[in-house]
Amino acid sequence: MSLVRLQDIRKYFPVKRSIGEVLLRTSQSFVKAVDGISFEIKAGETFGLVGESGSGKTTTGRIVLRLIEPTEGTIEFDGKDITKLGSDEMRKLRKDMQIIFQDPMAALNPYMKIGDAIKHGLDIHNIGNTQSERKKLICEMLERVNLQADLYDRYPHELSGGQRQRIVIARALILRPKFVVADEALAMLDVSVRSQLLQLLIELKKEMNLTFLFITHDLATTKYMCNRIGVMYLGKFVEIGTYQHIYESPMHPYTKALISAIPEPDPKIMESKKRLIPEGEVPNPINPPSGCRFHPRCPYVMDVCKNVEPPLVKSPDDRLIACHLYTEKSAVQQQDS
Amino acid sequence: MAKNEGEAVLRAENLKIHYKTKKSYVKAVDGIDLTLRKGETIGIVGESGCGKSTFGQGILKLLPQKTKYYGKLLVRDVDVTPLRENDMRKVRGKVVGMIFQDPMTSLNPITKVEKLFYETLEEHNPGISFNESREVTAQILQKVGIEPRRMREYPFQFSGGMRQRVMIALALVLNPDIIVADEPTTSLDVIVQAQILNLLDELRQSYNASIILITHDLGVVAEMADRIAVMYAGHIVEQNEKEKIYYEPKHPYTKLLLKSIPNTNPKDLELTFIPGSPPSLVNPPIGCRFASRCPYKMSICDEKEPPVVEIDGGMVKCWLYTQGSDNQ
Ligand SMILES: Nc1ncnc2c1ncn2[C@@H]1O[C@H](COP(=O)(O)OP(=O)(O)OP(=O)(O)O)[C@@H](O)[C@H]1O
Ligand SMILES: Nc1ncnc2c1ncn2[C@@H]1O[C@H](COP(=O)(O)OP(=O)(O)OP(=O)(O)O)[C@@H](O)[C@H]1O
Ligand SMILES: [Mg+2]
Ligand SMILES: [Mg+2]
Repeated sequence: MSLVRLQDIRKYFPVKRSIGEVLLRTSQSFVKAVDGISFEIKAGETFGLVGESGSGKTTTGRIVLRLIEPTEGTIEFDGKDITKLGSDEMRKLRKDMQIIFQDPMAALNPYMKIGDAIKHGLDIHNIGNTQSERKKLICEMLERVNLQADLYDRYPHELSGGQRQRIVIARALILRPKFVVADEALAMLDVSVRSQLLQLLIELKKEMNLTFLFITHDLATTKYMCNRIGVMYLGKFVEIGTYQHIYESPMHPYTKALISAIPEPDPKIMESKKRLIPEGEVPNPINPPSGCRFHPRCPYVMDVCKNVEPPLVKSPDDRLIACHLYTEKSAVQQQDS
Repeated sequence: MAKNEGEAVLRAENLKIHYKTKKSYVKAVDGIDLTLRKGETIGIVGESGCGKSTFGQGILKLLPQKTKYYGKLLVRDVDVTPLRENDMRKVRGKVVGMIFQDPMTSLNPITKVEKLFYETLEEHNPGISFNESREVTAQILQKVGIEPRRMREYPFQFSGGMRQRVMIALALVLNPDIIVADEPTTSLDVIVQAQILNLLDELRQSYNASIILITHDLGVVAEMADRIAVMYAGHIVEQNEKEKIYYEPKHPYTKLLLKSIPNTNPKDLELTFIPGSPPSLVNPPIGCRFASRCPYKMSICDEKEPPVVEIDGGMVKCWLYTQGSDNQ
């Protein structure tokens, strides 16, 4: 059964206009942060979101939890349409839906000791019977994220980046949610602590049938966590598949470039490594290119790519791909008709 | 590149940086020696919380006021440890440019990007006009891959990765001699990361700038660094040329860290990490700080702090390599 289902989600942010532009009545333009994406996550499954920086991953994660409203589209959680749910009803769902923010400093109250910040959630949702029981739960959780209990009384600014990140993880997981949006949750950790926390996430996944939307730039970790991975480019999916699909035999030219750019922890390999860095400017989400959004930078660009947007279709090996190289025939027909 | 010859632009001598908290001192950097030469990139790696950012920000004295500095920290032959805020302002941006780990907190989210650049440019070029500043800003934003017209927006309107690029542009706009880059690319996709790293490297080459590169990404260090310093619990436990660190690591922590790198084989789902956790930096152990997690631990390791020994062109702080003990 699917726990989360997004249908044709769009999010357009208005761009601030200068006084001059307002006076000249230049029309309002929008950053098309998310521009028509659909996917579902089954209970117990982890769906990975990777892709271009600025392609709308965080925006998608926030929309799922209704932290921001979509411009269009529907969100279902646990079989229920929550797109228009009132704030009271949303509040009841909050415990079950947690987010680990990309920027932990911004996610923590600077005036609250980190122990209290974690306890806050326990108080609100009435987990643990006594204060001392709550404190015990917190110390256990701190240990599981590899932090000493002596950090309990520190303030967020008195921690290192990776320590803060682990506090945010602890705060989300201690509530034993059903669903977690993990936005670059392990980005600030060294490889050893990162593996340790991956292990923890995998354990909790088994223990509580936890479901994740796992947003990351670190493709290596998707192998351990993700059942499926969606690759985003400029507000859209270009490819969705398993780790093997994406990592070992990427099909979309953007995915290929992305995989080729991963740095390898080996100086000799790095010296000779060939990267397929796409040419051209980073695209503009205000005026995305016509047709396929990747076409101005694509080494395999064809005429059809400039005009017709490729649909996301199933390939014979069961992945989803949006590229005319693989659907050329049907696309050409579409254009003719 | 000449590695042990070029002029030293930055030198830490038995540098200690201790934070004051309500009840105690946190000995985040606790006696490190490091020399950065002109045109060189040193990668600093180590476990989360071991003192990397403290060292990086200590170079610019951007830490809380009550923080204590001991030893020496020479920036172009000037010891900055006794310097006051006013003098430090001249060093910041112009001599040393800083790229922070946490872009949202270091970029004032409610100041427009164009104004952020104006403030920085104006500090070092009094009298520069807003329009001139915008021109310079447009150029540098273009270089890091941000549409210049977005300089009219506020940092909170940017994605995490875009904020990071703004941060990088801001650190580079004055062409500093030394760039301290703290996790400069962790919130970027690997393509933009490659572009930014190229940009940093180009700047290093064209201005002969030097870089302190703090990162958890051992792939990034493998590409960018000339030398690597490995930190553990406030100490530098090993430093050497990059190839030596990757192919012939000496310190047990370095060895285990490298073993923790995940491989990409889809069938292999085993996770490797270093069991246990690092010691408290309030009351660090008297012996070796890694001893409690070290598979090669000897009795002396708990009793006495290991000395720094020169070995194989580099340095290691471990009892296994001191004279008299049986090597390995
Ligand atoms: N509040 C906002 N106002 C205006 N634009 C916004 C706002 N939030 C996000 N955007 C824009 O939406 C686009 C997508 O941003 P988002 O943060 O979702 O990207 P992302 O994929 O998470 O990127 P990253 O990998 O860099 O974190 C970006 O162009 C960003 O500038
Ligand atoms: N203002 C502060 N007051 C007290 N302790 C602090 C303060 N800032 C940092 N610390 C502590 O100092 C130690 C070193 O922190 P630092 O930020 O230098 O670590 P780091 O190596 O950069 O870690 P990360 O990889 O997680 O960013 C940490 O244990 C941290 O808890
Ligand atoms: Mg993001
Ligand atoms: Mg740090």
